[in-house]
Amino acid sequence: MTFMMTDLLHHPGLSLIVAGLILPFLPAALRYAALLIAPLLTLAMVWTIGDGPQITTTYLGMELIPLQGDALSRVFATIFAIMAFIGALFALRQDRVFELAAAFIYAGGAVSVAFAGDLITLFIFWEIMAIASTIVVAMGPNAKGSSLRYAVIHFLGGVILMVGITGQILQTGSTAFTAMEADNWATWAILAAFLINAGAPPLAAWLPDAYPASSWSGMVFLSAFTTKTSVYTLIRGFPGEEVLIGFGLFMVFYGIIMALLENDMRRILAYSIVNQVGFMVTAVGIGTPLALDGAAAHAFAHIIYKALLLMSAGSVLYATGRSKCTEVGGLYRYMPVSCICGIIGALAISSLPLTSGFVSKSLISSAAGDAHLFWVWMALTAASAGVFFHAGIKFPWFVFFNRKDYLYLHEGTPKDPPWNMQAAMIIFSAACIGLGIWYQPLYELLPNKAMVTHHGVTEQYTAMKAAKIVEQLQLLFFSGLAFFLLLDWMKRTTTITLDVDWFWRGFPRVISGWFGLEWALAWDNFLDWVENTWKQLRDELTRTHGAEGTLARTRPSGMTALWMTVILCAFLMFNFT
Amino acid sequence: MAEPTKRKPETPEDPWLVRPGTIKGIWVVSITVLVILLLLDFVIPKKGTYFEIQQIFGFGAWYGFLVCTGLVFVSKLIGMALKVRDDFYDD
Repeated sequence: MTFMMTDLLHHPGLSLIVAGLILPFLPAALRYAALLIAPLLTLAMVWTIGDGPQITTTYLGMELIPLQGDALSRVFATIFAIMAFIGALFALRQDRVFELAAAFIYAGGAVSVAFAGDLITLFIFWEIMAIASTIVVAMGPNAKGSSLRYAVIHFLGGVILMVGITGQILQTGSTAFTAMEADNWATWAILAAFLINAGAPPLAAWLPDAYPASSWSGMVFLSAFTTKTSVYTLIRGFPGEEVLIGFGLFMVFYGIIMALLENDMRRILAYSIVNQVGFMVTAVGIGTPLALDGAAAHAFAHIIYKALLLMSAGSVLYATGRSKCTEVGGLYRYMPVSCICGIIGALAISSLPLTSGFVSKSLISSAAGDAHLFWVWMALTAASAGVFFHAGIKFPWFVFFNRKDYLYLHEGTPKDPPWNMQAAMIIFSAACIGLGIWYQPLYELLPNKAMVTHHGVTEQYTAMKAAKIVEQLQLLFFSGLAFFLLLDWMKRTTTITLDVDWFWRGFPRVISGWFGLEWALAWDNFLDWVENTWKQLRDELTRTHGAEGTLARTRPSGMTALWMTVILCAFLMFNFT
Repeated sequence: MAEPTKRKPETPEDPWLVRPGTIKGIWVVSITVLVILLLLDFVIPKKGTYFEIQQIFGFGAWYGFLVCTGLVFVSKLIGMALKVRDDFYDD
């Protein structure tokens, strides 16, 4: 099919981007309608995209496929569109319209990346996402510094991606976005760019720095698209790349430990995103069909429960204006809906059986087991316990319980947010439980339909096995026991924990501090030198040319006249003879 | 003369969930659940496991408990080195 302008109307991502662009110009009533209808239209369009290239064109002699469908693209595009809808429902009353407009462009960019058939298209929408998400961050109340740092990291990632893509096209002569191997500088650069967006080390700190700086609704959008688009590109571009196992496991534990130390509820959840994406990155590294299905399913489930957790946290922020664990607490009796929805999200992220997290994460750990990766499996199981510990209990406990009563009642009694925000939370809570019970439809969406072969028999994976459920319940409940036994050690303090972002937030200050001192000393020396030199020069001049100076004295002229007279006399006398 | 009222003056009472009796009840129920979960290992055959370590009695329980305790210790150690006041980056 050749490229025509009308084809673009069928592009689900572009339609969402266009909706975002016109959103600020609509009157309020129309805007509400557009916010809710546009993502649903996108979702409907996602499901009209068949397999294979749908739109093709050439640009500068390169083959471009702006729209190419398959099962993997549809899984991600589907959840991105659903997320845009629920996010819009939650953020309906956000009066910063530019945040919503940017969020739609951002979501449209993510859908477009999921359907990009070539690297150039991928790059274009990757950058659109970077710009739009920066605007979403910047709409936060005090996000100037954070959004600038976010922009710098993501544009740096964009440059690395461009370098990699250019190299890849030069080396292979093809623009196609297919599975690659990190065996030369170009593919390494592409992998590095993907990993930067995934929140992988060494630059992971951009995520907990930027996301919690956004508004109460902004972080709901932010949590879904950048990191999960990156997981999609990793599944498509680097399946089975073993180095990803190392990156993923590091992210899993880094997320847990930093979240354990954190006081701000939204920073806890930000570190928890890194932790969860770590599971997906590890799965991509394992690379078997079951593992890749696991990564996709976990991304799908994660977007729902993490958005749910952030909507619960966002509601608390909306109602109280506070987000530190040391300041909130005891809110269960004032915000019961936010509390219950937050707990459901927390149980889903902890992979409690009968929730979405269990059916998706089981695919990943079973893939590690099937591949006989003992230590990877042990680490993933340990991390599962850790997830319950840092997000599953810690978040609801410190935000909604911990105290008998909310500390700042004199400022007004906090209450559950408006109906639209409650509705968004309730829908996603239902989705967390629904997917945990009726998980076959999710498995059917996956590229390999979660098929496993045991002893020559190929069948769909079953998450609900008695032994597995008991083991998981033991893991979670005894982690919970550890939490409450060690509660004194878990007490929150009004601290943050230095992360790698110190290298670009703290270290430059140290250097400028040194330089500040050095410069001050040098400047003082310089001033002293100028003063001394000037004084010396002035003294010298005074000595020679001053009123009493050698050259300014009147005597020498009299003396000269005398000597001249003497010489003249002598001259006359000698000439006279 | 009005009858003296038998109603006590209204005292703000803690909600049900945070009364000491309830909390004690939650602990009793939770510990019962923990014990039952351990005992289930005798009842439910460990089928479909991947590694031998999973066959050990109460694997999920002791592994989860040890891991979480370990994570708290590690995070405490890291926290000692890297915790700063939360206005560290503020001007």
